[in-house]
Amino acid sequence: MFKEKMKLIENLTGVNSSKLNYYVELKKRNEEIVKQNNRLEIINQLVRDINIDMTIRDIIKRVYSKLPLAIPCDFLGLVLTAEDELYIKAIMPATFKCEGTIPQESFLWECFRNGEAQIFENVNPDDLFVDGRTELEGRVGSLAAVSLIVKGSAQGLLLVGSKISSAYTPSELVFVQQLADQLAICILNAKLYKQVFRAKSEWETTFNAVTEPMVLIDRSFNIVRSNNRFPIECDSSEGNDKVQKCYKRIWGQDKKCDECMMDETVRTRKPAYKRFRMDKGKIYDIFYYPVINEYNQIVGIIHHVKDVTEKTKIEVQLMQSAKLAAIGEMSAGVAHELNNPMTVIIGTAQMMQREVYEESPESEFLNDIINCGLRCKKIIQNLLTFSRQDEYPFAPTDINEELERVLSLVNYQINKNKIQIVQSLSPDLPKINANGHQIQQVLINFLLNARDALEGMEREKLIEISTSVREDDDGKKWLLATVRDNGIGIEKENLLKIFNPFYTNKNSIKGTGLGLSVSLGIAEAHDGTIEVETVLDEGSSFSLVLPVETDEC
Amino acid sequence: MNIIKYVTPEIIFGCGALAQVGDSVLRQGAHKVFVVSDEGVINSGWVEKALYYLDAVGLDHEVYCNLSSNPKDSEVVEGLQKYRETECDSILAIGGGSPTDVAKAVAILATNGGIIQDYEGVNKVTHPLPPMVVVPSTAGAGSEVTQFAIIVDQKRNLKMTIISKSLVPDIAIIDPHLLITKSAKLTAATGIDALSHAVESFVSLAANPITEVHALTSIKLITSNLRESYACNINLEAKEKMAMASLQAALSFSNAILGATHAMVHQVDGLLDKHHGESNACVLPNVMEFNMIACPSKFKQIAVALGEEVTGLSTWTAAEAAIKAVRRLIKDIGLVEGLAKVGLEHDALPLLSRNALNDACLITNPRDADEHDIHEIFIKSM
Ligand SMILES: Nc1ncnc2c1ncn2[C@@H]1O[C@H](COP(=O)(O)OP(=O)(O)O)[C@@H](O)[C@H]1O
Ligand SMILES: [Fe+2]
Ligand SMILES: [Mg+2]
Repeated sequence: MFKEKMKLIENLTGVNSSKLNYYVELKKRNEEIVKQNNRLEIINQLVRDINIDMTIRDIIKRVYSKLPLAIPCDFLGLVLTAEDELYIKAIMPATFKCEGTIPQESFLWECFRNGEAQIFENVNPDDLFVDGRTELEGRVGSLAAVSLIVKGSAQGLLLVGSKISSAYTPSELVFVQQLADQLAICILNAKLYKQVFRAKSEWETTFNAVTEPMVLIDRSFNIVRSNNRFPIECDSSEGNDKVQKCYKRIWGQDKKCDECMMDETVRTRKPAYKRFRMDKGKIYDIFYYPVINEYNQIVGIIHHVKDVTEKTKIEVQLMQSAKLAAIGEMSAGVAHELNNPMTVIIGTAQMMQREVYEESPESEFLNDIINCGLRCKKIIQNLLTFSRQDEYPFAPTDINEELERVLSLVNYQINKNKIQIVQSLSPDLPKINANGHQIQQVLINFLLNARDALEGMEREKLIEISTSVREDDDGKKWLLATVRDNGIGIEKENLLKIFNPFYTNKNSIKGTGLGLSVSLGIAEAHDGTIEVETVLDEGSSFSLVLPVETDEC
Repeated sequence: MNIIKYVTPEIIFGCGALAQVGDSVLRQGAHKVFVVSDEGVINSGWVEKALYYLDAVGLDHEVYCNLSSNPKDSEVVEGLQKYRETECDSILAIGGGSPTDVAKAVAILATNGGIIQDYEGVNKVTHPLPPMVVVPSTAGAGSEVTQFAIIVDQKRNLKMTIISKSLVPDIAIIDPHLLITKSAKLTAATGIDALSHAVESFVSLAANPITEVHALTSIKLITSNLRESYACNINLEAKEKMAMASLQAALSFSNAILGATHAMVHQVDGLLDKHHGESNACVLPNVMEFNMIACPSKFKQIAVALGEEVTGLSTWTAAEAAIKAVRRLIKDIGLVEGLAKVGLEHDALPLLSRNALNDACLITNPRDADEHDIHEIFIKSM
């Protein structure tokens, strides 16, 4: 009672109290601020050190190395959530091991759920599900646990532990929370970066995987991106990087291509397509795809160039083969139908001849009928052979024979035009391995072309057919079957085009423009080629050049 | 008690001391001064004068004067809001006890936060207060030197006592000149308040040799100057003496605390918006009577200070003379005798008695008093 009263009086008069001093208060605050600043500086430094492409483990490692500058830290753990599980994503020191997911009954779960920053004292490492007892001397003296908030939702916990007890005050907890907030941003950034990077490289790989030129161009024809596959047309030696315009880079031109469909694409806002025939015989399919942004504006054009030369050739051959097959089928039928009446005509003529005098004019007439009939039968026979359905295999073939067969077929058409045919076939021509049927096709084409080239000529029309063997410098032998005419000749600049499918300078009724391209295909199938010599207004010479197998082979 | 403690602010005393106000505030490092006063003081022209001195040293200032006779918690809230809004960093109180107490309360909240109720009691303030300079315009309350702030809690209808060394202002500028504008009634009321401070702190259980000297000096000064000061407003000499009396009484009670009179009067003040000196006048003589038995010889010393002739008188008779002298003084300066006349109702007494028991001032009262004793004194004081 007495003591109590004395205590009260003492309190009132205030022996035990003093007027508070601003200096002390200021100093305390300053120290606090300096401490805070240091810590913020450390956070800043850490954030600066964290590269966008670092893994979460690397980030935690970096933080662990710097954190002791700010607060006691012997243990650092990052707990993340995924599919209703909590698991330790990264832990330091690196000698620690984490043991899978964290069971529901762990205090970490509660900490994660209530989302409040908390300090725990004397935590058993077992309860943290880490194996690092030796470093922690059997226990974590104090542990600060704060939520990792990513875009407003708790994504995990940051755990900072110390060997010593009571290592963390509320002010340290605030710091750990600040650190966690910054880390959350870093981790999110790293994640986003990875996603974006993956998506980007996926697209790039896809883009680059296309073997034909594919470029993104802007409306002024500048190449914004390309997969760096450019056609041979373009002379890539002249500073690839500097050539920005698509017409320059892809087509080697100095101005916009005449055929460019960019304007149309921009106008229709729809993909456009065009087939482009180059003078050198290449055929390109060109596609223009408008690239439209979220404001519905065309920001560029995907320009895709596809070399379809080979494809077109094969298509044409297929088409021609099909056509020929049909004609073959038909002519086989016709020939067969003609064969029987012919036999009757010849037979009847022969029977009649037996009944007339040999010197009588009738006998001469009948003789003519019989000879012409036999010639017809011969022609029919050749036609049947030519049009035989089954594929001729490669077999030893006498090119002279093939030529004669062909002549028997087209002789009439050539003679009809008052063209003189001169033959100079090499008598000792070696047989070569060839598809006789296809060889005939090529020769027929040569002959009919020669006839066409002579049409309307004033001078004496001449077709010279020859066969010969030529030897290269390196000893390789070639067989040549040449058809020469003294017709109109071919202009220099058209010389290459004539082998293009559908190229023709004849009117559309006569020519299909397929002949030479198919012929070249056949020649190449025989490892040979076609050689052309021509002088405008003087004539041309087409040679089927085929390899001759040497004996050693 | 073998250990004593004595606190006091820097004190600047003398006619014309008001001129020091600018430099004093400036020395505290202030940039913008929150001037707390009330309408009466403003009307007397003293605030204008003080602002002149602030302007003279280039100090920015903001005046808050929306105060009533007894400082209320709501006025503190309003004051704090204004202090913060106007971004002041120091406080100057000009006036009687009321503006000074509001100024102290605003100062507490400015740096400690919370509500003023949080600081009721002893040593609840934890952070230093903004620089505070006080210019008293009455001679009585003594708040300019004390570690007290008394604020009315309007919900509970009582005066809260806040005690903290941090409430001792940094500088007290006491200019007796300011007293000449007081009304005679105010002079009387404040004078009795000062007397009550001196008497109560002299007999306080916490009194010490330093405070006792102040207390007795104060009583002597009051005895020979209060009537004169009351009688003539321009008696500057009497005013100066009363200013000194008030100051010394305040120094005494700030360190030795008070007693039952103030414990009881605080309750009356919480209920009625009457001047604190008037209720003091009703209660003080009765408490003296009650306390006399605890320390008759001290009362004899009071009698001497009051100018009573005690030679040859027994201690007891001499002590009784002190009470008589106080009653006479109160009567001479025209103050009402009786709380009933001040406006207090009998029904309120039980509650007031109970609340008085919890007032910190009761702790140092020389005679133990229970609720019944307090109630009895209240009845006597009616
Ligand atoms: N020097 C003065 N001259 C005129 N009126 C004054 C003076 N000082 C205070 N007052 C007025 O006296 C009243 C009581 O003031 P208060 O602050 O309660 O004094 P205290 O608490 O010191 O007794 C207030 O209305 C105030 O305006
Ligand atoms: Fe008082
Ligand atoms: Mg007052």
